[in-house]
Amino acid sequence: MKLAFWKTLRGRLLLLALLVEATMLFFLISNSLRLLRDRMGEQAKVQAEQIAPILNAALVAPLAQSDYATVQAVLDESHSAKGISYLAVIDARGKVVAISGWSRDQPLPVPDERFDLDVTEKTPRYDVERPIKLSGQRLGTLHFGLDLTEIIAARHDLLIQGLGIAGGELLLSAALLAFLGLLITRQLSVLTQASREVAEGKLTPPPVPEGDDDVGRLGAAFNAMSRAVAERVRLLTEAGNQMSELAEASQLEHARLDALLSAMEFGVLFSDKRDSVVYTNHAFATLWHLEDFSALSRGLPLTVLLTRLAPLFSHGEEWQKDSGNMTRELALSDGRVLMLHRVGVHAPNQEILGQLWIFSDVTREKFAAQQLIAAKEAAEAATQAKASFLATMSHEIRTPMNGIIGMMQLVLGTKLDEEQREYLQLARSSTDSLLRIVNDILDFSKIEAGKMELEVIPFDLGRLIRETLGILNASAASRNVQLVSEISPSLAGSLLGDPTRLRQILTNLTANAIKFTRDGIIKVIVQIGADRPDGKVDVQISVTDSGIGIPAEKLGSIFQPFIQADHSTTRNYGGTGLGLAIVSHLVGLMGGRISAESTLGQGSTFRFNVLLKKADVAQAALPSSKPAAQGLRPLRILLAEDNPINQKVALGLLRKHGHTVHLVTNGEEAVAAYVADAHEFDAILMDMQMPKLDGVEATRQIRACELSGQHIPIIALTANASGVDRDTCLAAGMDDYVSKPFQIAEVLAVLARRVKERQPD
Amino acid sequence: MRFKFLLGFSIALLSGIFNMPGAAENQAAFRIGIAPHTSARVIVEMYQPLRIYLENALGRPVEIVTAGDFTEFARRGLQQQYDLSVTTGHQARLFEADAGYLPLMTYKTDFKAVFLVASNSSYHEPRDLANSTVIGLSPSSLVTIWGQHWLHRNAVANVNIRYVSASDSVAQLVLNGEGAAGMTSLANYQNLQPAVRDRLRILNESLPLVGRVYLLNKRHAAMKERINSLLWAFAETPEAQQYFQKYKLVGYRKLDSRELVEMTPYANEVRQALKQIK
Repeated sequence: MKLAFWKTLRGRLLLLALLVEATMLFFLISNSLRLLRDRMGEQAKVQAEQIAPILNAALVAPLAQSDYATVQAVLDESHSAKGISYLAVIDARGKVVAISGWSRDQPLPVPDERFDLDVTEKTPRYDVERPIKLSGQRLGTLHFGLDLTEIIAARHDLLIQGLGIAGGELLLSAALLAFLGLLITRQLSVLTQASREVAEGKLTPPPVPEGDDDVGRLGAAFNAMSRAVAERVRLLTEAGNQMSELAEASQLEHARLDALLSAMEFGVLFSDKRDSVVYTNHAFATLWHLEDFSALSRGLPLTVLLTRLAPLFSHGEEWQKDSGNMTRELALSDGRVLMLHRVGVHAPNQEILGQLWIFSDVTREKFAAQQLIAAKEAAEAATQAKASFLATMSHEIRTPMNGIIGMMQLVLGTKLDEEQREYLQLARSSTDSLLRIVNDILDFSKIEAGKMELEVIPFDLGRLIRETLGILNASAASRNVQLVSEISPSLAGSLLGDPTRLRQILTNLTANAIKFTRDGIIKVIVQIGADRPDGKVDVQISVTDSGIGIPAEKLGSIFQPFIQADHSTTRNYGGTGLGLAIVSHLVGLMGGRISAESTLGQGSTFRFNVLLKKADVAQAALPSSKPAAQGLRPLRILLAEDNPINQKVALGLLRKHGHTVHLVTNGEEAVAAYVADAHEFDAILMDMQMPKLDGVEATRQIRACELSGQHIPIIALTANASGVDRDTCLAAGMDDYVSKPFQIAEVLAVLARRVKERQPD
Repeated sequence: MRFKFLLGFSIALLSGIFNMPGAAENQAAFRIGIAPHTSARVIVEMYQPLRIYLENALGRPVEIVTAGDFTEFARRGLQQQYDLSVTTGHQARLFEADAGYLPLMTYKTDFKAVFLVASNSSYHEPRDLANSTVIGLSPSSLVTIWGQHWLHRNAVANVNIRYVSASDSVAQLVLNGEGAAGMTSLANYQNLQPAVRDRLRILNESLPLVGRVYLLNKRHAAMKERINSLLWAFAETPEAQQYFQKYKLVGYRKLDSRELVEMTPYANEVRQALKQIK
């Protein structure tokens, strides 16, 4: 829409400027005319005032002399001067005595009271009357008229010329201002057009001209604004697109969530922070039998809903009063059990939005769990019974085994012929095998019961390996097998671990290799891995034999219990099939893994690693595990043993080695014997299970009776082979532990070590 | 319209009545004619104290008038144009004899006529003026008539008389060499600027003559005593004293009737002159 010219800035500026200029010109002209009139009037008055005294001076003498001809001459001469219209002199008697420029027949004009150019007379004139006086004497009156024609003409000319100049100036100014306005507003017009385009939706109009003046800066600002608007529009468009995508994604997610929640078997309720229902799914209504509860909708207060649910509970439930997250079972009066999970829903700024309630029917799971618990408890009871049975059996087997082996040791120490000795040696070997079987069964039962525990004590791994191989050396030699060990030089110092179980692993693997090798070589290699960040070292041990090997299909199951490479193995080589399973489990307990490689007919390699800590210097003070029976002086030993056979075995073996033994048959006697004379004995061998007072309690009483500084070594001799028994013995105050059936060498070694520790070097 | 016309007509009629002679006499100015013994301006100024005094005393306008020369003054005086006339003795005698003026008084100072020549001139004797131009006032003036009589008595031959209107001009014309001598009154000579006066020399001086005489027009004969009293009263005023002193007139004195009679020959000269003009 095109604006009217007077509504445009250019038009208004032009009109305003012309108005101002016209006003100023009006005032200029009117002021000029006023000044002209005033000045001319003043000039006329001045002229009149100047003429009057001159004429007065010229006229006084002829008037005093009544020389009217002279008066007339003066008037005529004065009238000849330009600007004086007429002159007349009236004498003191009122008679016109001289007149010039005016008819004597006409009355003289009445003098003007004031100068006035705006006369309407044909001949504009300023009529003046002045007295002719000399020294106060009035000699007559002078009348004259000043011709105003020139002044009025000048005023008229001034007015005409002024109006002409003003008109010309207005026209020129209008043209100039219009031109300037066009120059100034041209950019404004461009800006207006650009703004109009923006208003019509074209948000990125072409750039408008810029410049250093105000309008140019306005154009620059408009361009900057236009660019900013375009950028904002782009961002808004992108944001809108993103929002649309988000809304679409949100709708999709909402639909998925709704479908998910509807399909869920869990009852879901979401309440807002004002404890009003926001959402429930179908399963919720089903779980709580609320299908016909029409009030269940958004905005329902939780209190109303809980009131509705209250009759369904088997007994008063106060859970709804709780606050915060909660997980609990709800027992309903219809026998169902519901699991409630209630969690708070928080906004990213941690503002609480409400709570999510999830109800699930766990009646079936609860019943199944109860059955499982019962089954588990039954299984555990059975396992415990088995373990107890095994422990009892072990004790019961070990006790006669101890008698058999002991007796054999005693008999083998007597004079026998070759045949007798051979038979006894075979019997001894059979008892050793039987004992290993029993030990394997006990270990496996411990593993199954989860009661296998490891010691953590300092030991020398190199020495342990050498000792182990040394013990097995005779057996290997009997099969023409050479035992070779390679121990890494970096294996220096003591480690912390369970040397007994490690020896058991090594013994088992090496004995197995010996068992399946004939006329060959068995190589035990020990390597030490890099130090680990947790301070442990990775000890890698391999046992390689040149035996019969293991079929590839059997390699994967040889570490499972009761599995052997071949059923014929049992027949050919004996064994329970528990050894590798126990070894595997012990390696696992030590943080390592075991594997086996084998080539049938060429031999097998068993590799395992264990993670052991390095012992510091203080811990490295290792007790000597080497039997130190050599050089042991004759000891005075108090033996507490209730089994008559074991009494005979122990007495026989100890006395055979030169020791004095005082036998008591129960704990009470042991305590009494010690109390009777504490210095009578060098050591006490204490059976664990004895009538009246068992070995553990007897030990406690003896320790209680000991004076300060006294400490008699007490060594347990028991058929209870479990680690629990060992711990019980040590906790009661015993110093060491030897399980039955014992080897006399082991007993003597323990005695030697304990007595030696007690005695200063 | 008619009412306005009638009103205007009535006013004009009344104005005409009051402006009639006689009826307007009280309102007409009391004209004091002063013989033109000097310039008209000086005459008017000189007699202002008297005019003001009489105007206040008489309660009517009083104006001082003069004439272009003594002849014209005499003619007007004889025409009764002056209510009170102040003129030299010979015209006073003429006015008294021919126009009925009533002599009142004169000034105490003697009036003398003088012949003036330039100080450095060679005119020392009356005969020195023979064949020269002598400058005088109007032929009707007393000093001019006395001078002409003196030249005649001293038989100075071939003298050309040049008449000027103002007595002040006589001295200047003599100094300018336009005349060998000039005729004027002793009073005028004494009133000259000292610088001018010093360059002049009195060649001859008359005996005391009747100077300016106050004469009252006969139509005011009834007021003669009053006018006379007023003049004497005026003479006692400070303004009059200052006037007398300024113009070295000393004061008024009574006029002896014989003094005017002695002026008769000179009066005749004036009468003759007037006749010649006619």
